[in-house]
Amino acid sequence: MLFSYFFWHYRYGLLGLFSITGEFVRFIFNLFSINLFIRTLFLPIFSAQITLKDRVVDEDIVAVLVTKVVMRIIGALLRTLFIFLGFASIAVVLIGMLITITLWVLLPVLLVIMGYFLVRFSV
Amino acid sequence: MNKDNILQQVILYKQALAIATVPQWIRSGILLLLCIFFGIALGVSVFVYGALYFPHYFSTLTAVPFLQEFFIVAKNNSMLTVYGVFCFATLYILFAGLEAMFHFYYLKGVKRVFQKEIDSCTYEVSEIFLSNSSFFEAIVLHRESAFLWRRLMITPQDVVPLFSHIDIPYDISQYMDTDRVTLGVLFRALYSSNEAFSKHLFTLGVQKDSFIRATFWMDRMIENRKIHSAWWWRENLSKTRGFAKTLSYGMTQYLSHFAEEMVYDPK
Repeated sequence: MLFSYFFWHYRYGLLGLFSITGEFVRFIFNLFSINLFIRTLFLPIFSAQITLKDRVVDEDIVAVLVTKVVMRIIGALLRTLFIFLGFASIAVVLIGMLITITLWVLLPVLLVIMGYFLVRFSV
Repeated sequence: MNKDNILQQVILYKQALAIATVPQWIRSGILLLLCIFFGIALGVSVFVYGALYFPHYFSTLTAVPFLQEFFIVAKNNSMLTVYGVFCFATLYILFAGLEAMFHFYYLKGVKRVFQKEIDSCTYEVSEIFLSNSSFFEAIVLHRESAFLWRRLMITPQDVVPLFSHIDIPYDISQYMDTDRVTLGVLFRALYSSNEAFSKHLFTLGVQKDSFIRATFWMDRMIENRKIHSAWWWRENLSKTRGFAKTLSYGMTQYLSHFAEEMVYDPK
């Protein structure tokens, strides 16, 4: 049982951890839509209408231009924030998985070493 | 595929079956306790070594009367706390590893995920083949077969006393519709290979089509449950929709290409 477990631990378990890391990164990438946000970074976030007291003004080119530019800037800032959050989350996941993988690799070996010293000192 | 081939694959699952002999709630309880002990040991270790090497940052904590006494005891046994952290961390990783190994084999035969592995069997099949009872009893009384009997509206007791001696044929490939051996495939092989069993089911009001469809349905139910249980698989993670998609595609910069905004027009 123990041999089978150690074989699985370093053969399939380790590969599984790498696979799970990839899946998590892919998940966060999709959750924050990083790819999509980069492609649509400078698109206007809202379409604000320029209105006077009683009517919508569409013919005022300067006003429309200014509104669009402002909306594009706001959109770019908001999307940049989400992209940054996405990459930060990916970094956190990668660090966490790196620690897990390191512990996964080292701890069973250290357990054997610790057992050896425990037996040696107790005798 | 013959029985020997199936048994060769089934043997791989014996470690998972050994782990499954311990009930799930006990395994989860042990993992939780180890996690708590590991956290406590880590906390104590950080506290002791922090107070030893960075006393300035821990001066407030070490001034608390209860913690002062604790600190003296812990300081005298500083190696022990580190040893405790290490022990609990190792045990936690090992127990989590055993649980992960169980899940690895439990989920191994899921067709929609592991499509490339054509010659494989499921965890339930290994339970049946490695069971101490006869093949018929093992398959009919298997907990997952309850789906089938409930759907067919008969009970296992209607068939077990009469057919507990029967076994599937040595070479079952002629009765199998796929290389992947599942519980449903075994049921279909049993039904096709044993005329007496199929006739008895007919007398109970179960026709061939109903039985075959019910076995496929049972396989799908089991597979769906397994897929849902593995939250870390791509199949489940990808169900969560990216919240940003609405922000990019649902907003007016795209919609305005296809529709006019409805505004009040006094004209």
